[in-house]
Amino acid sequence: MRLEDYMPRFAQIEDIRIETDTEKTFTMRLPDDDPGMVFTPGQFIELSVLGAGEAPFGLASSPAETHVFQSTVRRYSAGVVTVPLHRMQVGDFVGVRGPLGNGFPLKKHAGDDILLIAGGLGLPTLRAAVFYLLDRRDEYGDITLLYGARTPQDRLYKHDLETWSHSPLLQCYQTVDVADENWDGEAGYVSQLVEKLQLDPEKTSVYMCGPAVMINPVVEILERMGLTDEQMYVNMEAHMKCGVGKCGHCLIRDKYVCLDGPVFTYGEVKQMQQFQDAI
Amino acid sequence: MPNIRVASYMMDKGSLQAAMEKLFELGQRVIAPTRAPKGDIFFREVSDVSQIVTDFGNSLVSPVEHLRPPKEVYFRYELTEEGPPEVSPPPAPEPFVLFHLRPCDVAAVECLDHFFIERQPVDVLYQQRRQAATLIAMACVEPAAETCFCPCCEGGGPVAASGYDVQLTLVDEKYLVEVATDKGERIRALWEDLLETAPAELITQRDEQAEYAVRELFSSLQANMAAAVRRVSAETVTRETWEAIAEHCYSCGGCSFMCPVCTCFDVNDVKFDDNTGMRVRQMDSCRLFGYPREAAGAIRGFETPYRARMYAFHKLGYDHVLERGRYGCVGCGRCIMTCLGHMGMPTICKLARRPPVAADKAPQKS
Repeated sequence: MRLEDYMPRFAQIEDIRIETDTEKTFTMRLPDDDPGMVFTPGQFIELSVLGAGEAPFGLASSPAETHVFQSTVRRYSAGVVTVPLHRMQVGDFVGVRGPLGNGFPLKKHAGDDILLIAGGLGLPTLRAAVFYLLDRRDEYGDITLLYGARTPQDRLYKHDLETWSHSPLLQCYQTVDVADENWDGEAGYVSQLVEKLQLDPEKTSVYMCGPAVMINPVVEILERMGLTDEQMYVNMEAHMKCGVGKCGHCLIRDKYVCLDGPVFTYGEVKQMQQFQDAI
Repeated sequence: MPNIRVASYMMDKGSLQAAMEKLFELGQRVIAPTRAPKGDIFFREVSDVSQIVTDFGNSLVSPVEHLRPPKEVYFRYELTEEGPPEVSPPPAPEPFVLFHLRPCDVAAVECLDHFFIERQPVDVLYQQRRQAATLIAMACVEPAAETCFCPCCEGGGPVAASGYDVQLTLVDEKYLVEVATDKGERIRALWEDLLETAPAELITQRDEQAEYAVRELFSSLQANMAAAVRRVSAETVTRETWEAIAEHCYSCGGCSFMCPVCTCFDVNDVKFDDNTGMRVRQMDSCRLFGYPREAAGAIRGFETPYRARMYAFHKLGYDHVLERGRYGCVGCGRCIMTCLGHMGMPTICKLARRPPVAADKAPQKS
């Protein structure tokens, strides 16, 4: 590691898109002389507002673009970093460190059917994976994206979801927990979408990102369909302070989420969950 | 940083004063134990040999704080009208001599080297300080304090086997001076006039003396750490045991702030004014209530028993023993000195090995 790994580089905000009441997608550009954001979907970055602090966010844009990247940030009223981030304007500079972490093993799974399952704010990193897969469409089998949100308004990247729903390149299914009168799609949990899938357990790899209440029932169904723990990958989240496995904040049992993850096989996640639940 | 070779020399007991005086000729900062007005021992930069004290038990604050400071600046920043903010890293640390580390501190430095340097990625801030430091250890003839239990920790004991640049051991009226590295060689050159080649008997005598100390003098505290490591690693320590340990925990964080092996830190921004400030890292402790705080300040039910286990697992769990190259405890006894609930590492080990019989039976002070 270099000293610069604790020092942020600076990216200029090019565009801010309002996704929902609480989420904004920031498009940021790194200077031309920067080595760029060369990343694998699933990796994360630390965004910082100088004077406020630093927090980890997933990379949501296509890995094909190295000098322009996107992150979606949810604002919490008590958010030390997210509140000032949401106040930023186009043209402002944000500090960025990364990419950090391991990312999804997409290269290893070439030739497989890929099933992507996102819940709520878990969609951003899987969106990067979708871009990656579509860029190499003929290297993979079926691509399926399942997305669950609380309400139709809470859905992120509505434009992308619309495009993907009508694309012949992948299957994209959405569901909302609570539907309203304008919603003519599915209502219910993501697990209900999974039940309807026809999977080939021999050649399917599953990437998931979402809250534990989504992941555990989904895994149960997938296991019944014949998938093993080693075929299912979960993008975990934790409040990493350093992002390089030193500060200890994301440590669960023997795993540093920032260094050994944030993508783990479900087998590893199960061990970590058991450790947490033992007390 | 493994020792490549150890050359042994002999020095008269009375020459220690002269040897310390010569340290100042090196032109480096000298950090040595000093006595604060109320008697506490702190390792501070000294400008004169009269400030150095050598007759003390074990300092509450480990000299390791000069390699892994409790608070360290990442960078200072200045926001600009146009263009990206300007950030400047702190200047690289100047070389310094750390005098009178005890073998437990040397062992702790070995743990930190493993964690920060050998285990990728390298922590550059630590590495810079480590490279700037020359470590002169003073081996113990007897336990430095009644809280010492270094022989219980794998590879620990009153004499350091490796990790130092120079180590002095008092054997009768002589000092055995061991020089292990190039940095140590510079110290040897400085002490040229005071040293002569050590006879083989002196080394044998020192080894016998250390063996005697381990056998006879360190008997008051028995941590039986290997057994505790097995039980903690296998996760067979029960929830009731962690609860019993947590009952004695005030979540003050003292045991990890004083621990020379603890490494966890928090990263914060400090504003000087609207446009300038700095980012610092500060020591953090898993025993504190707010340690597992997530985004937006949420704390997901990681109660004191969980955090007590986290502390023990990070130090004794086998995966972390591998990560660090040895147990995450060097037996310095500082957790015993600082814990308000009398729940130092030996007591944790004792309970982990042998769960409390009845819930109402409070563990005794070790």
